[in-house]
Amino acid sequence: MRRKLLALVLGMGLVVAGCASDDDGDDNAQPTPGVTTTIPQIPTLRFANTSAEKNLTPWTQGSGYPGYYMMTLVYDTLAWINPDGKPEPWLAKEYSADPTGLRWTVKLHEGVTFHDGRPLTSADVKFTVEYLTKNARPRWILTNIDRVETPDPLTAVFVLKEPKASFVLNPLADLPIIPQHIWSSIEKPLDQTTQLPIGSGPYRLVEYVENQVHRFQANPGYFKGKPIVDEIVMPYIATTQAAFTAVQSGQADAVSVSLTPELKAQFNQGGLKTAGGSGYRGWYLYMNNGRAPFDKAEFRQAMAAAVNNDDIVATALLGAGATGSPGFAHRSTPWSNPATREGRLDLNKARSLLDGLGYRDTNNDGVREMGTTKLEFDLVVRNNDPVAVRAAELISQSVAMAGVKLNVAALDQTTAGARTWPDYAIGATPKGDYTIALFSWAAAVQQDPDFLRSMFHSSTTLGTLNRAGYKNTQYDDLADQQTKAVDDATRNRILGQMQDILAKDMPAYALFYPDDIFPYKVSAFDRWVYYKGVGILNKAPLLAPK
Amino acid sequence: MAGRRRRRRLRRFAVRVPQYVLIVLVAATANFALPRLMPGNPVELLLGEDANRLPAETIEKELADVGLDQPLLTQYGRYMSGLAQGDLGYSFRHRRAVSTLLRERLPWTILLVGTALVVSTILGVALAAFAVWRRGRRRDVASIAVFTFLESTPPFWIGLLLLIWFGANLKWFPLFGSVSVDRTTGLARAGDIGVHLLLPAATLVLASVGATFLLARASLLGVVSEDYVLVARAKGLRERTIAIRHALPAASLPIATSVLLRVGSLAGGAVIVERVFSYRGVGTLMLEASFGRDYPLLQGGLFVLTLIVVGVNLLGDLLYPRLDPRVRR
Amino acid sequence: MSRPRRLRRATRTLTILGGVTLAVFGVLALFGSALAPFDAGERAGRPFLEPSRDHLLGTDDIGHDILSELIGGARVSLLIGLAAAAIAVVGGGLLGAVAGYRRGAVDAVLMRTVDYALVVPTIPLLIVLASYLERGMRSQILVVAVLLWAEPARIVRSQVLSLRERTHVLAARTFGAGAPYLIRRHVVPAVAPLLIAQFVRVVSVAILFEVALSFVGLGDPVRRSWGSMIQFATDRGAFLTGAWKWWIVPPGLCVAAVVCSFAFVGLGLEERFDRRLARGAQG
Repeated sequence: MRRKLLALVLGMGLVVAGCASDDDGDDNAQPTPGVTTTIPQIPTLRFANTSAEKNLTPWTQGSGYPGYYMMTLVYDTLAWINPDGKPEPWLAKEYSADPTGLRWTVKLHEGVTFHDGRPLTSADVKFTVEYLTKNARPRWILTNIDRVETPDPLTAVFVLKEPKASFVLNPLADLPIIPQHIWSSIEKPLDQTTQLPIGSGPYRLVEYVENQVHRFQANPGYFKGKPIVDEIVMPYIATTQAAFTAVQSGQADAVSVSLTPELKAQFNQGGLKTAGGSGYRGWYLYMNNGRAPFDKAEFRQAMAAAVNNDDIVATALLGAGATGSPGFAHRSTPWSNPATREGRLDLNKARSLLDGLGYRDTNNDGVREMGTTKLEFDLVVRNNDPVAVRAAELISQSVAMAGVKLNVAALDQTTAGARTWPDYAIGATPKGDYTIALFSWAAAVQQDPDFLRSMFHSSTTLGTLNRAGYKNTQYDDLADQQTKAVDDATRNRILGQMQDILAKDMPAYALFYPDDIFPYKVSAFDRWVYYKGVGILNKAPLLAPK
Repeated sequence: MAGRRRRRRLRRFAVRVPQYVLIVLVAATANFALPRLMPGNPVELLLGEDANRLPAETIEKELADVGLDQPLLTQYGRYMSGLAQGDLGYSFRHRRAVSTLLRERLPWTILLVGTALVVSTILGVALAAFAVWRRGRRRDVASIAVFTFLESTPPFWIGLLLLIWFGANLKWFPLFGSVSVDRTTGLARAGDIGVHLLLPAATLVLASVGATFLLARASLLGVVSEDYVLVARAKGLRERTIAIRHALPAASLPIATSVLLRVGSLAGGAVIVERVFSYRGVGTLMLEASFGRDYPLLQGGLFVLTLIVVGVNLLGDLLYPRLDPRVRR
Repeated sequence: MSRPRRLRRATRTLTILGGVTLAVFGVLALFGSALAPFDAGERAGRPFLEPSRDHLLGTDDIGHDILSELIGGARVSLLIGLAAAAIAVVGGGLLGAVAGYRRGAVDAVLMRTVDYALVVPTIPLLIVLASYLERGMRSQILVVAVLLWAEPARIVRSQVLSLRERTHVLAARTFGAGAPYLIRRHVVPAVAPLLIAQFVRVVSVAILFEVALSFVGLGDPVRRSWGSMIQFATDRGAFLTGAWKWWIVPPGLCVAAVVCSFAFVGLGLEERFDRRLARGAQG
């Protein structure tokens, strides 16, 4: 799912590198700046975990959140993302690209060691890249890296095949550096299910019992200083509501999953607080553009006009969320096109569009038809998210007023995921079987505008996430242009044009984004910060500010 | 006398054991057939959901590696011989042998189901004896109604209410898990396990005590009208003595058999109850396998549970003559 | 001996109680939409309302009237229970009849399968089957029926086996009566009471299964059943907000009441058939 930016042109890299070095030494990202009093050491913190995580290596780790953030308590990356979503140097003291954007020089901190005392050097960086190229993981596609040079133990030079603007975001701020002396003898990394990992991070994983607990112990020799919390225990709780109850009754100090909105008030009293904000994880109404009658833009427009997304946010989310846009890009992204932000219920528009297409309710059963084609479809949604199921029900209700019948088909996540692909196969992906579906994308999709290309490009190699089966050569051209755009202004202008096209063709409709609401116990630890679009579990707040 | 008894037991053994072996064979065959009969793809079963995105030659190689390119009969033969050696397959989600995973989880389920079985049996039989002793009175009838009602309640619902009340409201018991994550040893750990066990076990007891009660009551009623009980009563023995000394031993046979037969349904109920309490047993494991379509693990779990139930049933059958007072007398 | 009589009278009371309860739920299932204050799918008020005069049991997470949903749930539960039981009992009965009549290899294979189906832990098997099949009422009914056919099959088979050898049946066979005739004339009347008792039992089990599957997330959340009500309630904070009192307790009680009533009715039926069988054996 999580994909990376493809090649960006020269110069772009330099801009990012410049930003990164500006941020160096800026500690404002830390939650309590300025105060010089020493922070008391906290013996133990219980962080309830509802995600069945496995062993915490890059190959066995499961979810994006909290899984990746549990793993990065143990492993370090060269850069690290701050709460605003910007990368800052971490293991690296500094990094910069040469004018071609093809050579990235990374200077490592001195004196960084792995948990077993062996030093972390540029050789480990080189090894990590080579090992991950051989044993690839979808999160880190490193095919663009030609080689890594190691002029000295504290300098690694990444040589790229093509320049890449988001190189700092991923791999630098995302790729965990693994110790060569351990992994060089491991042949099947996917089978590392029980051997506890050794990294350079602020915590060691000292105990892991599947579906029971992950226990972390502070690394006293951490290069950024010993963490404030000595021990983090992450008990596994199978059901989210039991996990919330555990926080409420004091059996846990924080939890890995966002509250359902009705609980927000209750978790902001009695020593509890919540951290959160508007999430980028969103729900989208997908239509199979290759299948009649959804192959007509007017029909898709009519469907979108018949959906009341304001009501979904107000009712299913109790107001704790944001509505999406016909232009697909989240309204608070810098490239969002103001003209395509608002999508509102407009039943008259929906009705007249359907009339215009020739669909009329001739037999007065409340459902339009034309000849033998009756406008009745299954609306596929996955059944493990109560809010999404309710949203699907609301969609079905409002669309019915325009004379289209949607039967909500709540399938398990695996089946729903496998079915929501268009009729034509993209690459070697399985052939789907759906006409219309309510589908979610992770936050990453809205964090990187290049996703607009992979979401809707008609090429099977570039449009790898084109679940709508959308085809528009004009859009394809623009999508290819924005990737090569030299400056932000040009790029955003092109991205704006793409959103205009999407709003007109409506291959898929961004419906709503639920707010993230993470509860925690103030007296146990009050330094949690919400990392935009992601969550609160993160190693940075666990370290004492400089 | 003793010789005849032994001979009878042997004959029973000779009849029953092959029967159970056959059941196990059917269970194993069903296990083999299920994924092949059901919609879905053996490649996915083997390599996970993303398998279809792999290149065709990789898939073919993997299929050949595990012998899925062989004729069905050959596959069946291999599967059975693997099973005989305890090979239940490989969980693709956990990337571990199914048998290892089950070995980790089974003790918890056995602890939970075993505790519930023992407690609900003792409780059910005691209450039944009491009810029979005072049979026909209003309270006896009321108890039938109450226990039938308990028997009719969804176990997980009872569990939820216990969890809300004793866990969340009163905070007497932990809300999740089979043992607390604090590292304790010895007696403290045993106590910790006990505290975690209490609510889920109580749930199962409440859900199953009704059946035991009703059955024990019926068996006891059958016995109390028999001659020797009448004789005992005529001798002027107290009703309580009659119930405990005469009726209960005589009725213990059908009770014991039925209790052992109930292990299957109790294990089934435990699956759901484990989920309510995040208990770390086979049930939680299988439910997660079900969400992730981990077919090898699902089938392995089902097979082992079946094996246990069959074993317990066989035990019940073999115990039968030992408990039969007519044989003993 | 007045005690057994008193007990019999008590059983009759329970049977009547069960019958009346079932009748009430039957009426709710058939005419619920007319009786309920709101349509079960209608958004009748704001979400998460506490009980009030307008909504006696409050509203759920998108403002459905919980009382109306509860009434609507009767139809779903009874439909699933009755349909699954009908398939299981008729199908199982037929298989049992065939096994008993044909004997030999057919019998052996069928009976070993029955043995397996009787010992296999049903809920784990249910989970395995449910994860292979698509979620839907029809497949759920089928799965439950597949799990519960064994007991009826065994009962019918043993009846057929014993009838086969009875004198009047042997006589009829000597006169060239065919299998269908024999089954209709002799087998059906003999096993009908047993099957009705089985039917009652299977309905209860099927209803409990539906609720359990919904709860663990293997059911269909869109179907407005008692199980999915409990599922939504637990997923939307009813534990913590106190809403469990009117959102989780009532559907659970309804399930228990229906299942329990079936058991009471079964109790009465069994007793009546026992007496008739006893009389028949004497005659």
